[in-house]
Amino acid sequence: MGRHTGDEGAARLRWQSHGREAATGLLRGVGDSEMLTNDERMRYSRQLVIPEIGEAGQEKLRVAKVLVVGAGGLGSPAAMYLAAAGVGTLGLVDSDVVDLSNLQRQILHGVNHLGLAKVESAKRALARLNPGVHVVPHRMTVTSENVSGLIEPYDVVVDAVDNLETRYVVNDACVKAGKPLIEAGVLRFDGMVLTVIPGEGPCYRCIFPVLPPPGAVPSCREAGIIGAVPGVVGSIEALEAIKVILGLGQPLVGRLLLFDGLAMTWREVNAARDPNCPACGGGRG
Amino acid sequence: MKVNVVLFGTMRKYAKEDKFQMEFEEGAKLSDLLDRLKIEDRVYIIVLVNGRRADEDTVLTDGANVHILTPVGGG
Ligand SMILES: [Zn+2]
Repeated sequence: MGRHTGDEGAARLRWQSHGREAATGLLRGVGDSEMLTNDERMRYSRQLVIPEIGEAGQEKLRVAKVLVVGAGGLGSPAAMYLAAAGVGTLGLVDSDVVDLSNLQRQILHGVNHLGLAKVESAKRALARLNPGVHVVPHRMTVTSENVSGLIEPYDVVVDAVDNLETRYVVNDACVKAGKPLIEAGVLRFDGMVLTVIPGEGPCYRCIFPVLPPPGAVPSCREAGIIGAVPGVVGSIEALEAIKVILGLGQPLVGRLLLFDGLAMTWREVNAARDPNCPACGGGRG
Repeated sequence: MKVNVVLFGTMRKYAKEDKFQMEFEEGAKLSDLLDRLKIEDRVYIIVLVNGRRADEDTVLTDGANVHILTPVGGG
């Protein structure tokens, strides 16, 4: 009963919001075709009432194309929150199939999808969450040969890969194409996030210039990961992508965010661009 | 002089806290700091001093912010 009452309240707010926007639209000569459907007004009501978002922001999200590279521990919450928020086109890249050892952290997938390609499993899960989102599965391994064609149709790239090597490939391609990149990694209880706006701040290589030699840095398979950590960090990636799409707030540009889940601390490093960066150096931007 | 140190990830094991201050004589280098923390040569680290990548010969200055990191590549 309480929930029902709450929803009626939301509906009233929704129609008030509609009235305002409709009047503004009329003044601006905006046609009905650009307005949200009634279902969309209900679905997104809690973000439409945020002054910084509103219907204009929702429209920006609807036309946005975001590529999430990796449909695992980081990619699960990132893709789910982006789909839930109404990002119109969501590309997902992964070459793997769903394995039982994934389910402890990769919350997009369930036991009913064991053995299924992760991108297909993710597509089905996201369609249940928000059928209005166009999900584009890319079942492939990202390489320096195929990466530029892969990212080309997208506005923002979310790096959610499970290895260091691919981070460099994705970073370099985004810098070259001038595409915003939300970069993040996790291990054990730790995570880091950096938003790369090429030309405006450091890229991943400005801080971590070269791929460490094999065995120098442990992987999640070797060192482990607790699922809530990519849950936290992947959610931040989604929020950063939404901010970049909407042009809101202060993205983590030039600010490497470090999360220590054991100490439960957040540290921020004001990181500078490296003029000698192998990817973005040379003072160009 | 005092420098501010933050350890991240697997570097946490080299001190009790993840954030602390260390005192050095003028002219001390990053290698002195790493030695005092007993971070072995073979350990793969990235060190930022005031947000810029530093090497062992980087001279520390009073109030410098030193972040000792390892990349975390999992997802
Ligand atoms: Zn760079």
